[in-house]
Amino acid sequence: MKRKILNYFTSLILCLSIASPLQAQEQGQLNQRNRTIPSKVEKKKEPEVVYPFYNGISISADLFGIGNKILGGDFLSSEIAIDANLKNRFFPIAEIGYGKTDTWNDNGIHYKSKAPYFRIGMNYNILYKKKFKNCLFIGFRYAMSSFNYDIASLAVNDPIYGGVTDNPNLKDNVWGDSQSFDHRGMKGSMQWFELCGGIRAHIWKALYMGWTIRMKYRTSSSMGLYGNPWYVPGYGKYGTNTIGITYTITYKLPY
Amino acid sequence: MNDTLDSLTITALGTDSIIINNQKKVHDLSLPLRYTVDSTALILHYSKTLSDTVIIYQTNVPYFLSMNCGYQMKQTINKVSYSTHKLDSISIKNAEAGINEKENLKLFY
Repeated sequence: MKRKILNYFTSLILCLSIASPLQAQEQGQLNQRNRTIPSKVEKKKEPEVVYPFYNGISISADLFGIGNKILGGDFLSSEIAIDANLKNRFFPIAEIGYGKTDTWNDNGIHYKSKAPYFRIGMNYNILYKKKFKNCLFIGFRYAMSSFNYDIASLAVNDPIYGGVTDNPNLKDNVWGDSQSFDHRGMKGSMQWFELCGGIRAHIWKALYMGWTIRMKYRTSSSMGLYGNPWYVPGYGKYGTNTIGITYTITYKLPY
Repeated sequence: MNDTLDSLTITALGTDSIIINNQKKVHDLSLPLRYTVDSTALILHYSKTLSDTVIIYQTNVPYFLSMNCGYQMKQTINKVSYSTHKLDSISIKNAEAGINEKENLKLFY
């Protein structure tokens, strides 16, 4: 009989010892549920960032064109842009600039041109849902420039035997003469399309800074009778396509 | 050329330049045009005693390509005159002269 009572007692202790942690676990799970459910509700309730249709106008100035010339490039360009922020998503933009070159090459060819250029297009802010003021955008532009250009070749004097070679770049190897080349005021024009991507980061108060990389594709062009343009203001080196970069400082107007 | 010449030497008139020197079995050839004047005179020597003179009248337009490539001379053949010692006639097949391997003149013997 004593043995039976001892057995009942030990099995009761075992049951209690197993049951009490299970109960604790259940209570823990319940507590956890109670904790997690309100947090999910909280997340759902988080208000969405809704921007108004009009968010202001910004003015930008490009510094890359000037910096490129200072660092030894052949082309000098400067431009300003104005864009409107619509719903922090669409940024219609207009850009106006001025490009210039006055370059000699190693063979004595002198190329000179200067003219304004214009672009219109739109940027699309990929991060339009974010609260912060930075932008990561893709966009497009349609651009045009009409310009005059001068091309001339340096004549070479023979200091020993005398005589002048009008243009060593166009020398007739059989008859020995050379064809001079001096054509000024040739008229050219070009229209092109740009695909661009870049960033605009908030620096301080209403000031922003940004980079844009542009893939440029020629759509149409006209040129003078005596030669292709070598430089197209706003486009760069004349060709079917090219890459451009702008580095802009932007000021967001207070209205 | 419609046929093959056994031997041909071509010189530039007024210079001592030999453009083609005693070439055998000539069927086609490439010749330069003058850059600075609008006519090119060439003498075709078939033997020591037999030759023809060909004068090609062309328009020269120097054309700027780029700062790296420099210039190209665009030349258009307007007219051809020639002697007929061995040569029968010349016809202009393609007036735009260039280095694109297109036939510009056809010589008949």
